[in-house]
Amino acid sequence: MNDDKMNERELSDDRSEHGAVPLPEELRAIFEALVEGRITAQQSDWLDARLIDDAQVRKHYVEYVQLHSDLIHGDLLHGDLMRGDLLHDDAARASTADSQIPSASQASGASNVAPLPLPQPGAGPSLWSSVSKFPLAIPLALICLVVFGLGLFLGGELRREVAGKTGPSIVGDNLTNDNLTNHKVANDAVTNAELAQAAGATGLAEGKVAMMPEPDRAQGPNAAASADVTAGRVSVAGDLPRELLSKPAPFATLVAANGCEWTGSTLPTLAGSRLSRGSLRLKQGRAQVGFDNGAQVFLEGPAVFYLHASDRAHLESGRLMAHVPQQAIGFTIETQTADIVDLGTEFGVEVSPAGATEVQVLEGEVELGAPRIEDLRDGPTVFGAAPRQGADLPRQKLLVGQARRLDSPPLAGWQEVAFRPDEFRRIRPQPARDLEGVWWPVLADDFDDNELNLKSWKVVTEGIPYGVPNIFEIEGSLTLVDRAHLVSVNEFDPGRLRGLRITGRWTFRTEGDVFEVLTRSDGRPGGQYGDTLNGITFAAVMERGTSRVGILGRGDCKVDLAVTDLQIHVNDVFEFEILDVPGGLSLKLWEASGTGPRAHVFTNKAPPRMERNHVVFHNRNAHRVPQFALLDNVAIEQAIRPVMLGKDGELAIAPASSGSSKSATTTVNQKSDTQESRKSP
Amino acid sequence: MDALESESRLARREEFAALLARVDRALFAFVFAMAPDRNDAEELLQETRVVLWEKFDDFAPGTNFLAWAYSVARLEVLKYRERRARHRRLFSNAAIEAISGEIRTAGDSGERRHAALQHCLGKLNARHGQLVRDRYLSGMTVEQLAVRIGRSCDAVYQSLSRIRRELFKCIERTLAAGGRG
Repeated sequence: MNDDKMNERELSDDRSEHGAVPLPEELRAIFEALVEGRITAQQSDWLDARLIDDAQVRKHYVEYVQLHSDLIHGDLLHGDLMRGDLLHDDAARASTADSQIPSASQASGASNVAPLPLPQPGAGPSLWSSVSKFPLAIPLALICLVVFGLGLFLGGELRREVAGKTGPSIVGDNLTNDNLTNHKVANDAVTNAELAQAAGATGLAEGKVAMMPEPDRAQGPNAAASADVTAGRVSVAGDLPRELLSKPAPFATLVAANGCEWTGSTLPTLAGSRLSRGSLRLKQGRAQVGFDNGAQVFLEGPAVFYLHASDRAHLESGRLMAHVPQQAIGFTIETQTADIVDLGTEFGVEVSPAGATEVQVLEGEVELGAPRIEDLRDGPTVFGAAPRQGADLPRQKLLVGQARRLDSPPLAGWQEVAFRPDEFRRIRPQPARDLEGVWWPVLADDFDDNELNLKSWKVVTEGIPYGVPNIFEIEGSLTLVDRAHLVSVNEFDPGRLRGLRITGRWTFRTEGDVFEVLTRSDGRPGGQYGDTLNGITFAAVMERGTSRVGILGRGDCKVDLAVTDLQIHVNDVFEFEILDVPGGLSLKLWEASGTGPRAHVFTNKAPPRMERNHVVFHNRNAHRVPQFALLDNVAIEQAIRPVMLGKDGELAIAPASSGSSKSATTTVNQKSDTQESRKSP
Repeated sequence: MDALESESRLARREEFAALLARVDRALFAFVFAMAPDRNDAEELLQETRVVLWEKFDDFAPGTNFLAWAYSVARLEVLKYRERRARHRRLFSNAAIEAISGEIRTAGDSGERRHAALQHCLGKLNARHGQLVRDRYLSGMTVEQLAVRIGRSCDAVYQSLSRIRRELFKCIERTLAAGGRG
């Protein structure tokens, strides 16, 4: 690193401006300070005035900052574009057929220069030219998004479509039996025609992703290509576009999304997605955003929320509750009129449609930031007729139990308002409550006996055409090999039992495993792939990239498809909870450690009563390769108090009368005892 | 629900994707000129893309997609400024409008400059090329770059500034030569 002057040979000399007014060095220095974020207030004032009244400055400015934006946008920098020896290769390069751009030496000295071409879509590849390739890059990315945005339930369906076109040798995935294609699914975007196209597009898109040069960007597609499907609802408008090219480093996670409907968010809206800077627009439902510094924000729709950094976010409208642990003190929620700086606490913020900010301190204390108006050039457009009123509000502390409101415009300063903690606390999922008296075990097995209890279970392998299906109870859990069915000997009719809950632990052991649990099933494999032909399937299909979690009906058991996405990898251990109760069906999966991703899908459509009501567990079988999954700590319980599935997908105590008064329902948490080991009956 | 309708929706998305692909970089240049901060501009571009898609039905086929996209992006910039009203804003609304007008009347100049920049990047030596990549592609801060190459922050700023100056001159030269030919 001997000198830092531009290599004389790199860019040749500075001549022949040909009519263009050269950019004055002084002006360039200001542009430089600007793009590096070092510009002073005085300089920016000066530049502001020149941009308004001097056309030449304006032109220079636009041209100079385009240099930056083109570099940031990035398409020029991929691949082996910059080679210091290019100057030495001028002759060779000039002879290349697609070298349409004149070299600097030609440009500066010569008379026979070709006109500068505009990029031609579809032009052949050139050594430097990513321009010709670039127009393809976004469509592929977008198509990739389209594919995932369609609400495709299962990779298996895709695979089958591909299989149908490439030959019969591929074994279709079990989950999407033929019923699905005839089944009236909730998302009208899913059709065979689209799936077929999507299958083709996915291949292309994956090829593109594989070419992305940076590992951290290569992770992008998972989050980027996330479907806008949460808890069974599909946001049609919001499914495109997502992150496309530039993907800033994530600093938060969408921890949970319950009953969420999203519109036009720029960030992925799937539970488990990593989040970077951008917006979340929640039309309804509740979402939890975990910032990497430890702060947790619980949002209640409708709300518009912008993530700025790991310690800063902006609430444009709606209501949130923030829980901020010690290490995240200083976490700031800003609104248009205020900053709320956390001092180690729990607080609620609400921004009204009129722009008023209300703050409620539920625990600890916060500091209310003095509104800053550093730039009053456009004063009246900011705060109406009284632009400076807000600027002088002193910072103040707000303690637990206190509540304040600041109107917009903030003429009257912070006003004391009623403390109403419940309206904010309810946004956060309820802490575990004692559920004793709701669930009663009807079958529980920790699979610790090294021998399957045949009074409770039977193993069914007939009717399964592929693999070597089997089930072993070994080393404290159950190993499900290929598509062998574990079927409950007894039947558990959710209707007669007033509600059924199935909990347990599932370990994905091989690539492509499928977690599949059925209620209301006859327990008999059949059909082309050896699937149970009747019942309700609660499933999680491991895929490379984004895995699918969903609920769907089999055979005569029509229910609407509910689907969401989840990251699943080999050796991931998940706890599950399945509810088949009055008012709907619910499946929750969460990583056993409790810190990883979780998924929740539900539907409020009630399935029909079925003749047979066995509970079934099984994995899938691949072609030739054995599949193993582990099942443990299974409990099947019946409700002995009247329960129902609420509109938010959470279990609630049903009203005493048969009426459905909403105010009488209480949300309860169902996870409190899933970790306990259970003994065989 | 029927296949035909869904096929038309998919076709619509492909149509949008193709149109957006052609203008995406120009849109970024547009919002960056009005909000010359990488993070701000990237956020604005994302918002703009989403709104463009949401309003795609308003777009009259056959008309100028870029012009329409510019008008949407301009509104997004103004909305963003409103939202961040309490923070220091670099430019006045008048300057924003002036910049917007400048770009919207500049024709294909942006495309030509982009092609020229591509050409000029090929002329950087490996060390400067790496610096540009680290700064722009990897998004390293000047501080990180300073640590990485063992020089002061000011030295890194100077290097980047010099590289950009030479790239800019090279662009001017290339365009002048091209225009003449």
